[in-house]
Amino acid sequence: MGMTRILYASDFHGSEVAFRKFLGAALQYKADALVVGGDVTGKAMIPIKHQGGGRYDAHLFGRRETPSSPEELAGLLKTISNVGFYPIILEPEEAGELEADEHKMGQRFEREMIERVRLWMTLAEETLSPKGIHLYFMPGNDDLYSIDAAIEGFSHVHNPDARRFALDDDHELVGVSQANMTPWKCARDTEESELAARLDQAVALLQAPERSVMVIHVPPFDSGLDVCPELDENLKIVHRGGQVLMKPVGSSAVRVAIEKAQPLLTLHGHIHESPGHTRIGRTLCVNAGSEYAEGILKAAIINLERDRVKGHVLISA
Amino acid sequence: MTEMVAPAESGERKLYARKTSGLIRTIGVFGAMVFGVHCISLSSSGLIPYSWIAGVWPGSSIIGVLTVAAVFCLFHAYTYATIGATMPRSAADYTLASRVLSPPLAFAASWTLVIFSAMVAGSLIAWIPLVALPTLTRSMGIIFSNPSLVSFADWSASSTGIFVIGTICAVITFLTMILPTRTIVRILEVGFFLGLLAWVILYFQLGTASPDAFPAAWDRFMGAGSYEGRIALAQQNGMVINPNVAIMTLAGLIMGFWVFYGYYIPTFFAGEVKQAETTLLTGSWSSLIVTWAIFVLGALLLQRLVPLEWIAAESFLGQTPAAGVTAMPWITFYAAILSPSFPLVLIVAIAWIYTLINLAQTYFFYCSRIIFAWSFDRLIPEAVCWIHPTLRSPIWAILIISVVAEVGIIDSSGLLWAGSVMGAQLNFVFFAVVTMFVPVIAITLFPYLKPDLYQNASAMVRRKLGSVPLITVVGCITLAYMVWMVIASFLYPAVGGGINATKLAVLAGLIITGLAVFYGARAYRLSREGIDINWTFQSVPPV
Repeated sequence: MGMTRILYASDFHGSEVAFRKFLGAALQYKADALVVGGDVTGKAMIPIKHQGGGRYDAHLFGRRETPSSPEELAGLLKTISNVGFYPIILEPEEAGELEADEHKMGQRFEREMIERVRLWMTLAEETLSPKGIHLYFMPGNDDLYSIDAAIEGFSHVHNPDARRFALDDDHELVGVSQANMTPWKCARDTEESELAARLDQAVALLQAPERSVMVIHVPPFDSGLDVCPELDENLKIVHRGGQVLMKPVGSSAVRVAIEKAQPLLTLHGHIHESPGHTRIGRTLCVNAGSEYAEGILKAAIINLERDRVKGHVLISA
Repeated sequence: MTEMVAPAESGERKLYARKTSGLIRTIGVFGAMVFGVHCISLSSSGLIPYSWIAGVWPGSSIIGVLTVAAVFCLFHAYTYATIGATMPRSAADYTLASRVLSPPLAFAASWTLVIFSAMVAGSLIAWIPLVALPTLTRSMGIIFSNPSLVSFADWSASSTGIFVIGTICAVITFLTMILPTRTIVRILEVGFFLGLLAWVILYFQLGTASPDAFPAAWDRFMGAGSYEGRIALAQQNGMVINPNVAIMTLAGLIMGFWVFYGYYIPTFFAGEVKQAETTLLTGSWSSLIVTWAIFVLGALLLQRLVPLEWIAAESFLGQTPAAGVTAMPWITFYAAILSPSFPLVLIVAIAWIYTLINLAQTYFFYCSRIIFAWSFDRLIPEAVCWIHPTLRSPIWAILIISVVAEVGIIDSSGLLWAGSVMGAQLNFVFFAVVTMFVPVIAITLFPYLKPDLYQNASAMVRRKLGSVPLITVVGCITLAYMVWMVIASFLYPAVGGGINATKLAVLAGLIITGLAVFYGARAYRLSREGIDINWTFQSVPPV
């Protein structure tokens, strides 16, 4: 058979430029399929407060921004979106109301997240469908379940979470969006036992696991793909002698599942600081990493032949 | 990314962060400063100003060289902090230069830097048998009238001694570097405080001596009349003091750069530093300022007791074996003879040996990070970066660095070919500066070569001076400093460390082999895997 080229990335965290580069990379590197491994929504909203007379006031990364023309405002909106945040334009009283009502704030967040995901899916459909390329866009542990609906209804965009798809004539794809428990108790964090059950269910969907691709948001425990700074009880990085101490935080259930099923390829994200690859038995495990806030796309290009991974490379664009 | 602090007033918050945002606090500046100080080294760089600068460029001012070098190094530090802020990952310099300028050239420069860094780590290890051990054992031998200790000191500083003891120390360094990271950082932490303690002792020994005590102390241990005859002896053996202090100080800037070399090393593992733009810059500047202050105070206390001309003569004699005298141009020795307390001498010697191992460890550390970046880009075999499952260390990468360091030890010993510790280090400065042109030119031109990336970079990277990007201005100053260091190497060759055709051929050979590795790796990946390594370095326009 010929070769199937997969372009994989994860952890965009709402970054507009990262996602758009991802789509651009698909065309540049002639990918046959795109896979996104989770954590697609942003972490914060930036209020842009109207000061009257077409002037606005906002703060981004400690710097005060005061756009006073439509062009400047558009530029600020773009900058905020590019770093993964959601810009919301508010009148002063609106800001006060929002801050006073936690429920309202949460609803606004959810609305912004769903809206951006839907815009992305629409853009992906427009960009990829003329080329016959499919995007497998899976949420991650940091994403609310309510965004799943925004991924539905497209012919060339699919959500592989707990579902099986045929990548090509020889390879299947299945996904698991949940992660083991983190200090922040995210939307799709779960206990290892529950995660193990979900992984078993995903593997059970596969007809030929040995030639399958699994996109599992959280990497396997102690694989080198799951190393991040150690935190103390105050969520402060622990360091000694000028060095940041690192520790593995991946999932043991994921590791066991990979050891048992031995798929051809597993794709992971979750730990931005641990891009790389490793082998667990015959399975190639890849974490593309993430530098979304810097406007850098981190992705993996993987060439598959029927029974093997022919080659791969990690890119930073 | 740090969550901004929100004032208490309703409607005044600057950011609405989700509770499950995963935002964490960042590493402090102190942590970054500690690593910079380790790599600058309170021990090896603590010796160089008084042992080499004055005599290698007779007529230069120690304090002048340290101060002028520190000022230029502040610009160099800003440049490298910006490189790390722009590309916050392993081997940020190579990664930036490959993406902005030229992948093969960036790799060849990085390849050359790593090989020479590993070699000079060996020459730094060689200081243990050359300086630290002889200072301790000779002092003990003289004080306790034990000729065998004096003989050991002589043997330790011989070619054979440097090779044997240096190899043992290299093995120790290798074994410590394959330990878990937690253990390594504990070892570094202890070294930081030991180094500071050693300097406190030196200040005490130098500061409490009366201004006219040195000549008598010297003669007591080095022979009657030895002090008075030192300058004449150096002049008989070729020392010529250039009366132009300014020119000699400028000539000495290459050594000044070497004294402070290390403040910018965290850029090589910028991927492990949070809020890189703040941490890298403040950490490097603070490590520069702290070590500058330590070394300048040492110079002031020493020059209170000994004229600069005499220090220059002893340093010159240390680089002139043909003079046939035992030269001891070490501040640790100067302090020890003024206050010959065995416990104090012992503590300083132990601190020196310990922190020299620490210094080699920092070189091994940053070399391994750079090698990881090459492996990440598929330029070298993955097996090189295999992580031992129990030790969690890249054993093969560290072994390779250790083997190259052993070559540096052999070179420093002069056992198999004419080489020297100082020669290796001066050569390293020249070679390192040459390789630095690639990333420094890349960051200087970055706003113009990659405007889209520049616009998305952090605020620190996008600072402007008027309408000109600040990094372009600072980069130009840094380039001017680097150009001067290259020119000075030829105009004012250092005694014992000049650049000749052989050294230039070695430099060229390493660059060419780096290019060969790059193109060979690309051809291999293309034919076997259908993967073009050049994809790693390409920009991707957003849709």
